[in-house]
Amino acid sequence: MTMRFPGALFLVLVLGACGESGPRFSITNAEVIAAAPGRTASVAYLIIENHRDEPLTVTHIASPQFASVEMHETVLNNGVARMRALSSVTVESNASVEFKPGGKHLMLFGPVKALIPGKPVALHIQLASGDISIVETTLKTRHSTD
Amino acid sequence: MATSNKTVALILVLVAALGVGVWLINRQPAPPAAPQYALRLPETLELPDFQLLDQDGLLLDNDWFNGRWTMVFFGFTHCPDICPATLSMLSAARSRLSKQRPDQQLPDILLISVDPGRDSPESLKQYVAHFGDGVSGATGSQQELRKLATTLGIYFEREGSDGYRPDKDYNVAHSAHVIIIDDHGNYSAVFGPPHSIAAFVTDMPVLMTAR
Repeated sequence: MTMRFPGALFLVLVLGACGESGPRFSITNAEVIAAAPGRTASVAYLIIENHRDEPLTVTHIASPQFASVEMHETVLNNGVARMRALSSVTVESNASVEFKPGGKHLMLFGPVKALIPGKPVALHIQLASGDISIVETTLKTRHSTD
Repeated sequence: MATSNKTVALILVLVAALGVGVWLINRQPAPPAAPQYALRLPETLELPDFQLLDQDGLLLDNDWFNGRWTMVFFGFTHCPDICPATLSMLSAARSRLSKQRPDQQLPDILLISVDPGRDSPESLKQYVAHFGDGVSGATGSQQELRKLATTLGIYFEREGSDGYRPDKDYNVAHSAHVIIIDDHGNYSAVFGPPHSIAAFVTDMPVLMTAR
């Protein structure tokens, strides 16, 4: 599999995101759900936690497994759902922002290879400051039963 | 002595009357439970005559609803978030109901696509199969979709479009409600967003009880 960024750069950037007082931000509960058959956009949800006393802004998300990743938000107004593209997402100091169904979400386009449930997917979350956090998860499918 | 006997007799009559009253109250059927999450219409609403096509390209009209309870969601298959999330919830709720009430009728699920420009019966067939048993899909002309959606209070509109064009990257704004159609094909209740599996599991058995 061809990585989108040099591995050494990954390591440097990940280390750069850490300071003497620990990582500036962390990603939890990340899940990537494969597109339904015949559809092109997979979706991802996660939680971005800001561990510092100043807000942070996420400006770019990428994945080696997909050609492009976009941030979007489903907005419910009087029961009507509309989707809006997000150019950035700000997380307030010592707070978190959750990407979840019916709200903010990631759309992932152009899988590099066939989408196989259980295969690893990496998300590179980049801040306006240039810091990057990388999270790895495995590809899921929508479950019809819980 | 006579007065004392009368008093005792009166007391006995009152006690007996009280006992009969309690028995009569307990004998009355309990009033039907009310849904906790859904809004049940005071009276069911008849649907207009409509014609759509199901995922097999067959006619889906008012008769399709007869004999089954249906949870209806208006969406489109290119929707990445709320549509598949809602269908997954409905499917999960149906699955839970099948375990909790194995001998009872299960509600069906119907996705009505408000994006007929991209959602053909063939694409709907592939899509709804992804969500498990009891899930069907349908779509039709804008006129038929509008007629049905208007009666059900459902809004949908292609965003950023000056007219119909089969471009692939547009979105369709749509109401996120789940409409309940009863087994006579009438509009019976509605769940408003945000949805939860628990809401459908709790209320569908109540809604499916005869009014």
